[in-house]
Amino acid sequence: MEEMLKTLLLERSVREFYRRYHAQLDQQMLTQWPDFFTEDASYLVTNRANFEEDMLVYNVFCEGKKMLIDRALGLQKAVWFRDRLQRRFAGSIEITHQSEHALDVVSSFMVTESRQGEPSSLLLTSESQDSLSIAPDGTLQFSKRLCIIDAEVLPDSIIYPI
Amino acid sequence: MSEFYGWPDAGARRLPQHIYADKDNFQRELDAIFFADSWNYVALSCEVPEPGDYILSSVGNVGVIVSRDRKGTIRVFVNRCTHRGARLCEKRKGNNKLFTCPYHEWRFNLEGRLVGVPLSQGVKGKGGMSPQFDPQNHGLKQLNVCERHGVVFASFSNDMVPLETYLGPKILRYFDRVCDGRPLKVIGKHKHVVAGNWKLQIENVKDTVHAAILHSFFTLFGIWRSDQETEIVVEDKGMHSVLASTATFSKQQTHSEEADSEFSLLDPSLIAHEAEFSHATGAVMTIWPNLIFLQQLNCLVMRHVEPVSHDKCVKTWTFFAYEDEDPALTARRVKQANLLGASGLVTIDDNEILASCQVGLQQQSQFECAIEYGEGSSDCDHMVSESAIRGFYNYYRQVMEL
Ligand code: FES
Ligand SMILES: [Fe+2]
Repeated sequence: MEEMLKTLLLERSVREFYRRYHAQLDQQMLTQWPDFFTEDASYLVTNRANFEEDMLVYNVFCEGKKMLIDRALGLQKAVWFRDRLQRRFAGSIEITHQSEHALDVVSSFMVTESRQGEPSSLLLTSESQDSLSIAPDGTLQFSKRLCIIDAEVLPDSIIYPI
Repeated sequence: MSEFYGWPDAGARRLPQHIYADKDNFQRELDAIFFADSWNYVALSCEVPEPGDYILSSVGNVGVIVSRDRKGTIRVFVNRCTHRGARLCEKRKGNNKLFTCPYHEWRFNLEGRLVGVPLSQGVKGKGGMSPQFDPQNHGLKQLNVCERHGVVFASFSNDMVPLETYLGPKILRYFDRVCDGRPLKVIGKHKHVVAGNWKLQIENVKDTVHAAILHSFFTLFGIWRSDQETEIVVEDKGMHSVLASTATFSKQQTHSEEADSEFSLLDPSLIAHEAEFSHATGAVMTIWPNLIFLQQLNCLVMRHVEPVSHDKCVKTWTFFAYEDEDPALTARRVKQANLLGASGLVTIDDNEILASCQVGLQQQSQFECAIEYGEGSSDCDHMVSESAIRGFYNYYRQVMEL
């Protein structure tokens, strides 16, 4: 009974972690984005074709929180792009492995985008293969986030983090 | 819109909007440029190392199969069954002994010959292929192919000059600067749609002026600034060009009044460059009609711009490296790839601005672009000239008879 309760609570906190992650990105809170990651975390975005062929090049390849902060600042200060609204929809979120201080989570999600008031269109659907670290107080952070986008040909630039 | 097909009197200093906005013009480009006398980049030969290996690519908006036959020769076929026109090959890459069409299972060998037709003798003596049918006449449509130092080009024309002549000595020098015959390997691909005419994308990389203005990332970190040592090289007819420049890696002092736009990289390894080539830290080459051969810091990329329609193109970025290079160098290429592609810190700007240009250019009001930075359409030793764009349109007008 107690085990079951623990599992439920853990699942709940993982779902809550993803919900907050998606919600903050939907609100384009780039400055806060790196805080979802540990100091030595990696953030990687690729597509299924490259992933299956073990390609070295990613769409986004950040090793360490510093690179995430650089990317977040770069997007805010050095990259020109048109305004857009995005919305992230989480599909399944499954804990595939767990230990005392870490979790592996596989999730699926999609992102829609509406540019300058145009109707939303589908930007991407993706799987993520993540590792989360659990701090002593229960706080979760990504130690790795690997997004594997389904489409080989992306319909547009992927500007904000996913 | 189709009555207004003239060209402004100012020649290549004015670009009429219909070359971006008109559907008929797009169709004419396919015939006059892509299906005519041009060498079209299709693949790197290391993508099809063994007999039977194939990869899908395109010439113009036509899907092609690039494959290696039993003798090791690279062949390029139109990806279309000669029976009813079905797409012959669906997987983006693989290895085959035969290409078998899913519809009626016609089979083509690696030389493109039709070698198998099911039910050709009919059933129980009835039906089957007509006696006039000669499989010899129904092989795959095959393109003219050439290869230089591991880079494969194809042409619908069988009347092509050798690639070396096509490029000319000035461009060939830059081609060989990166592809010097060392074996190559592909380290990743990006593919994405750009909501703009294909020429906007080609012009964009011939446009030295924007690079130091639009791409704040470049200027902030001294990778591409208007005051750095630069060479614009334009092939004599204007077909191809190279913009070569040497980064200072020093911050521009006067770029912006707002101190707010300044920031420093916490992890400078993102742009940590290891010098590989004799001069210039970046050389952006465009090869007529639609290849952007890019060397920027340690990123080596074949950027293939597929014209999809008058208002849309697909960019395929093939990132490559040398087969037996130091893994530390490959790691630099991988990190710097963050600057490029659909999420690239200096490419998002371009993808976005090209889409924005397309919107403006489709507003029908007899608009002409003004290409007035600098004079003429030949080589230049500074960055503030659009001479490579004028060169491109001199040649464009000639082949399009505009
Ligand atoms: S269409 Fe290919 S075999 Fe009929
Ligand atoms: Fe650019």
